[in-house]
Amino acid sequence: MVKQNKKEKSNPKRGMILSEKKNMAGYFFAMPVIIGLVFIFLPALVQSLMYAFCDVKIDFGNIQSKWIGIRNFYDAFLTDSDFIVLFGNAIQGMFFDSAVIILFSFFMSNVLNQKFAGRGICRVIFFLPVVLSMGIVADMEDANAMFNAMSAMEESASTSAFDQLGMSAIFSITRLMDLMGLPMTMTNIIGSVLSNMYGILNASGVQILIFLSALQSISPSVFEAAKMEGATKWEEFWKITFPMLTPSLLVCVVYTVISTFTNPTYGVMDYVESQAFSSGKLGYASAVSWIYFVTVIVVLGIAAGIISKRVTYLD
Amino acid sequence: MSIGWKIIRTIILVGCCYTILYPFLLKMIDAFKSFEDYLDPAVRYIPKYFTWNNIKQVLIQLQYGKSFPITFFYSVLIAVIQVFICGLAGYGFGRFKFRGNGLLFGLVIMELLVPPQTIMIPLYIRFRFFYGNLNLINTYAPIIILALTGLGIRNGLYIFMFRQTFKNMPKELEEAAIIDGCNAFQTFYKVMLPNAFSMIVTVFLIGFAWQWTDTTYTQLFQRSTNLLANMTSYVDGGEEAIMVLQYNNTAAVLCVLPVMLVYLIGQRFFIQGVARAGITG
Repeated sequence: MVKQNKKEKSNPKRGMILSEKKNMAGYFFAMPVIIGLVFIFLPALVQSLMYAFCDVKIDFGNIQSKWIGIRNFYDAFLTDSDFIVLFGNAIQGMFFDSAVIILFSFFMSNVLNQKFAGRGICRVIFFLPVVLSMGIVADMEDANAMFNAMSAMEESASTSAFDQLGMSAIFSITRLMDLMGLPMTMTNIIGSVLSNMYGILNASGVQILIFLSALQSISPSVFEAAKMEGATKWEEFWKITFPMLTPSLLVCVVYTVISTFTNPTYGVMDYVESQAFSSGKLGYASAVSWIYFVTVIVVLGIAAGIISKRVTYLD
Repeated sequence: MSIGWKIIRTIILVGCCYTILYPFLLKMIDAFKSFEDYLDPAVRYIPKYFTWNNIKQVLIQLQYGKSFPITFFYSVLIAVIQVFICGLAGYGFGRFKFRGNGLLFGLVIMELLVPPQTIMIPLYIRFRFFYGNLNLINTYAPIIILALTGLGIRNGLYIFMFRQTFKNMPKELEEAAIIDGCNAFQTFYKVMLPNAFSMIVTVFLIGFAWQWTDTTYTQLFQRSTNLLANMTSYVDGGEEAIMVLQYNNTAAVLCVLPVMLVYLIGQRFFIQGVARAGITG
């Protein structure tokens, strides 16, 4: 890009060079999306940013906004004690969860790519969380949560006999690791991963699918060639499979960071919604969500910066 | 492959599948329980009084005969549009270094980052007064327009997936196509798309599943249309209000099963994708 600009300056009469002309086709391909981004998405986004600096009230169906500068941001950090706690927890959780989810889905997709009996069924089952974790089913889960909480109190003994079995298994594993003399932090991490297994599986459905389709698109002839050259399975993995997966790794990291941060268990998004619709503080709600956007953008920027250096494209 | 790894693999897979399936299986069993069984904590896995009544009731309440085909064709349509638009955009962003590429792609990531709730109100107003006085609310148009402009549910993710896939393709493919006399669109259509086959299947399956189950946009823009996602919010328990819980469970099962069937079929194309990938070399 920079090089081309320099050339342009040195010879202003010249038209576009061939590669620039070819690159103009990019606009053509991305045109529908560019139109959507510029004419629909950007105005909506700017409006939400404007609200962050305003005191917004809905009076008789009319939206009234008054410019108040950075008061909303000031309140979020210095006055509102709930927000800071929620926000801190969300950031902490984001790092831990993202790492676990990425490692797990990377491992699982490699397992699911191997040949074994019942592979099709396994893949279908691993797709289930993609469907279950959002939309209708998630909504119904919320509706049922209250009833379940009530019934759990009534029948704690019989219902959770099974769950207790699971918990005691996890307890005995962590106990065993303690006895083996592993450090406490490691035991804690493994214990929390095991007890969160359902959540992790639920959150890694999309990532497994992305990795899997990347694995599928590696041409078998590459592996054949490697085998002819005498590469071991280990070498094949690190020299072919892993580099071919790095572009998808970037997608997965970005997606995972975003989706764990918006994870309802941390309550940030619920808090924003409650501020906007129950308390009627629309301006404050959008200020809070903008703080969240900027944080995620910073985290993504750092993560993408580190990963991009290691991403290898065939191109 | 060693026996040890096979055993470990089986344990891991069985454990994971079980963890995923267990809550869903409980829901499926609940669908066949009579109401007494549902309230009885002693009845858990095998219903004492087996009944089809719940499913019959829910099928009637959802107007399944009518809402199923509508939802199916609508979801297929949206998923196809999304694959096409996001594929085009992904190719544009991945293979061409046009001016503003980075900035526009940053906006695509932003699209993924910004939850629908944030831009809900401006979007609603836009479609309520579409170009002056046209009211598109409660028609099928808003989501189609959003899909056509790459703004549908998490379309940023699909664009990103396609971009990475196309970026990872060897340059020689494109050059060969150009030498053979293809223009830019032919190169995309005849050479690049077939090579991204497994990504197309993936995006289609995710897009289909998410459109099928989406409640955020459908309930915002077209609350009174006959999509399954809307119909489920009208499920009620009749005389006994608490029965709504059991009906909700049944409705959830009935909504999810078709999606799983579509995935079961689509999954076969994954394997075909491997066979095709061999051609590229």
